[in-house]
Amino acid sequence: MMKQPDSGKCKGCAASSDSKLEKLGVKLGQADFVVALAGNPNTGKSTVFNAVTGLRQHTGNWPGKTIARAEGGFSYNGKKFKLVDLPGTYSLLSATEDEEVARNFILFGRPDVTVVVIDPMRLERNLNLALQVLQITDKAIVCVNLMDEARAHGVSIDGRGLARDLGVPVVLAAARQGEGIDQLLTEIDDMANGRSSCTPHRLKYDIPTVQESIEELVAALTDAFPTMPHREWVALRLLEGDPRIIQAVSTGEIGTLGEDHVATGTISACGN
Amino acid sequence: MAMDEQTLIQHALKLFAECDYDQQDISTELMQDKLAITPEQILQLLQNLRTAELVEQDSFALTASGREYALHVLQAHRLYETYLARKTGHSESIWHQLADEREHELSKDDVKKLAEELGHPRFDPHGDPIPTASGEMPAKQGNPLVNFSAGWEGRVVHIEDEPSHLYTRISQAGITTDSVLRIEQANTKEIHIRLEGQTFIFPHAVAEQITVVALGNDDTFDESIERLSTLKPGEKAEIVGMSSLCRGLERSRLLDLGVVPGTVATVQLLNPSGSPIGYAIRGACIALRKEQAEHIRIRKVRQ
Amino acid sequence: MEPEQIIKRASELRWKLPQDFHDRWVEMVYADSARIASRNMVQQGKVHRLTWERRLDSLLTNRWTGMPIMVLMLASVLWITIIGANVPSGILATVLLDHGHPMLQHLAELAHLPWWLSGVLVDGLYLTVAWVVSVMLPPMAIFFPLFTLLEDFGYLPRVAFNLDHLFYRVGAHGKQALTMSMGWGCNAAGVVATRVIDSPRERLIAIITNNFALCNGRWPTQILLATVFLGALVPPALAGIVSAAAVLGVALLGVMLTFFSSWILSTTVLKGEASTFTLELPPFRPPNLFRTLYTSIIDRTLIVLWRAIVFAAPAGVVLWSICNIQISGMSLAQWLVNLLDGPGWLIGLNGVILVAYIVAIPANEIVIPTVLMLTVMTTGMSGVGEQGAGVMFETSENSALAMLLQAGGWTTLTATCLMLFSLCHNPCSTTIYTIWKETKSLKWTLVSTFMPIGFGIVICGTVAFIWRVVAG
Ligand SMILES: Nc1nc2c(ncn2[C@@H]2O[C@H](COP(=O)(O)OP(=O)(O)OP(=O)(O)O)[C@@H](O)[C@H]2O)c(=O)[nH]1
Ligand SMILES: [Mg+2]
Repeated sequence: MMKQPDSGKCKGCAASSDSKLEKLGVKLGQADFVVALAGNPNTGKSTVFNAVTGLRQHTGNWPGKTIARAEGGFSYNGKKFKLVDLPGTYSLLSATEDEEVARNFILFGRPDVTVVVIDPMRLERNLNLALQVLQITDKAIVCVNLMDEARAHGVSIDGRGLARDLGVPVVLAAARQGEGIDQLLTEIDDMANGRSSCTPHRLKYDIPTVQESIEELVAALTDAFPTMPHREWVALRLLEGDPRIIQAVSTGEIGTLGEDHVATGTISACGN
Repeated sequence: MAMDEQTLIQHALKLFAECDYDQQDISTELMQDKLAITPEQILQLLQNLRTAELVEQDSFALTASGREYALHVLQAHRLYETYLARKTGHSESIWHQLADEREHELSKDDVKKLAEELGHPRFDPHGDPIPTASGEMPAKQGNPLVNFSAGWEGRVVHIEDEPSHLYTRISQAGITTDSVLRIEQANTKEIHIRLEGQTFIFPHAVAEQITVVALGNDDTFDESIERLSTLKPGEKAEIVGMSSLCRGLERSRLLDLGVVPGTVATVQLLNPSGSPIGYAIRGACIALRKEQAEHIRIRKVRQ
Repeated sequence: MEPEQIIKRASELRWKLPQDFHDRWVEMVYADSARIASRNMVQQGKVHRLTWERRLDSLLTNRWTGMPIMVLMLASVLWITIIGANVPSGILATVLLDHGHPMLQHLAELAHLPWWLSGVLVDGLYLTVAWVVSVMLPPMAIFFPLFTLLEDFGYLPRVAFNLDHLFYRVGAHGKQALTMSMGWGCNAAGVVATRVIDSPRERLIAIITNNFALCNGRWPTQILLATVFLGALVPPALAGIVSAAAVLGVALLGVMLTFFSSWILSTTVLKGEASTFTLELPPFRPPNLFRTLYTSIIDRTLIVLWRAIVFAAPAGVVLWSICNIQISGMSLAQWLVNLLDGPGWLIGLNGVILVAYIVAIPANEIVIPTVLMLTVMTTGMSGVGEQGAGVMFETSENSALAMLLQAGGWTTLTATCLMLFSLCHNPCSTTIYTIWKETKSLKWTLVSTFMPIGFGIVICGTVAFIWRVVAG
């Protein structure tokens, strides 16, 4: 039921892939790749983060537990990865302060791979965010977490079908039990190293005049900021009048947005 | 209300511009009424306006510079109301008053910043168009609700926010610009209007404040539309839309959570105090306060 | 095009778009999501789990059972903590204080350390740290895991759901219930957690009032005082329950003060009406018992303890120094204590406590150890070693701790007022700094710092006054 990675390495044996993982915690040094963990609140992003890095980022069963970005590292197949745990977000379009941290990093932090952690029990709403992320990046992996819970509720997910519809690799996992983490790592590794390619599902702005307006703005933005990523998204936000994006464009800091809110490992003094 | 000269001039200019927009003639009576000043003061005011070359010497028409100034004040006022509506917790009934106080303090630059911050809104919360920096406004449309009789169906395009006691009655009924309603009964004193599964009875003075247009071709008054707040446990509803009273961050948040047309909602968790109530929406239990649920329009689904 | 021009062009274009285009855009994405979801998800059979989840949910949020269960839950957590902390605390105190301290003194003698150095190190630094460990570690190691279990289970959002209408009435945000619960762990964390509140006005209210949530630095203080003084008033069989009830009372008073001060703020300086909010109630998730215990002991308990030690160590040095610096024949500490005895008396406390609060400004958790140290030093009771303060949580009238404090002039009133004062005083330095970082406003930082002290002085003063009138 899970998507088989397509390269010729030894994927069958869990033991071997296990031994390829080295949890680096915060001892990171210079990472070869940056991987972002995005997703709706309370889908288990921090749990995935902990499973992979061996750190103990706080988890809790309510939306909004993580409010600042946290970084950790792991090494896989000899390459060093930096994993960034982000606050949960319902959408890239509207944001409270904590969500903005996530949004800015996904959009402007230039992660090499974005893992969207989704909850199978609330699939439609989670796909809403996943589709928005796929809109802006080619390098995304969807991790359907909480599969143990889904099974207990009699819900089954067709991972292969989902991968086909979304156009990106899909991994079914239960992070708290460590299930599916190996496969997630393999997919991350393949994607970061360019061994797998994908053609994400894209939406059409099927609203009259919107598409033309966006195209016009994208052309202008390309002109003014040749290196800026996600111009379509920025154009959409400008059209909607997002004050923070307008501000960022007018001051030219749009290219550096992903660098704010730099990692604050533990924000609280008392380890809460 | 004691007003200094500057403020009075600004109020007068705003009034002139509004009348101009509404294609209403200006008279000294109207000025006396709206500005709450004596006839002597009006004479003085007009003289001041004319010496400052804001109003034409021989008529009540605004000069070019008068018009520019007036539109600035209008823009400031309406933007500030929009700001209050979206960004603060002040109650609707005092938006107008607060905006009246603030409009004079806002410079061109402030107004520009405010417009940017709010994402250049086109209409204020009452449905009044906000002039752009270059002074453009879309054309006015519609007629007062009182002009129509029983059985007529239409859409609200504007709600006058002054005086506030009348406005409060309208906003408490949850009527907003873009509400679709039907007149159930109209007599010489009152008008009974039906919308979203409820009937509201308004005296003429209140109905006077509401401007409506006839429904377009693919627009109908739908008797089956109700509000989410009326949904009972065990019933099932399909969401048809959200009132424009729900705006800004709150609106996009609800959209993100799946409050979009076609979504099925049921009551999942009651609250002893009646608010908030947990609704099952797209597989999740979302708690909404009563005021929010009132802004969500539904159609009940028979099982 | 220049950036300014792009923005201008965007706002021109915006006029041409349909007004509801954001709505329509989200609808489109949802339509796609729903299509993809329905193709790839199958729901089979009837789900028993859903049924019990719903039942439990309606039990936890019911009119008759919702609130009582909430209070009961908190009460049992406190009761288990108090009962459970007794024995390990005793053991730690025996090891660290009764045996460790004399041993170190002996070692210092053998090493021929100068008297002031051994004083600073052994009697100041070591002793304070030892007090901190034995007073704080056991209750924390029990309280945090229990609290984390509730959090992992998904109970916190239900609390927010139950309390929302109250927050609404005082003009605050429903999610303040969540930030308040975070505050029960740590106020600094609670203040940061207010980022989930999107209305600036309500967020400020949540920040300013967060201090009324008893933080982990103050739970042990409450528990200790309640056990030693209030538990001792009743027969031993009831002691645990009475102490738990007293702590619960203070915690609930904190909740009430949160509502009250939120109301005051939202009707005066932070005027406005409550904005709306949406709260997602997550499914109940049976927590992973072992992992929860493990992480909350490692993360919360040890980190908090470490912080306490870091602050306690220099405080111990300061304490020892002020007790040993003589000015006109009296130690500096004594001068300070005498100076503050008057104002202290007015609010039912004493000079020692106020000096301790000043020394302990960096961290709430060292207040009690500081009080104990100061009392030992100022009463001249050499205390610990010989007195056998071993069983600190012993709820009998002649426990060493009670004797020590009674020698320092403490009464039940002192303990009660200290419990109240510990609820209502300035936030610890970390929290104050966090408030400053989050609000970027000196004004609100000052309000957050001094408003609770104001409450504390008024409440303690009133209690002391009435107590003395009634008691004659
Ligand atoms: N049963 C089960 N529970 C899980 C799994 N993964 C995470 N959880 C639980 O789900 C809850 C939420 O996990 P978090 O990792 O805090 O979620 P998050 O996505 O980081 O949440 P935010 O930081 O609020 O956005 C916790 O109580 C976890 O223990 C899983 O695979 N199975
Ligand atoms: Mg998290």
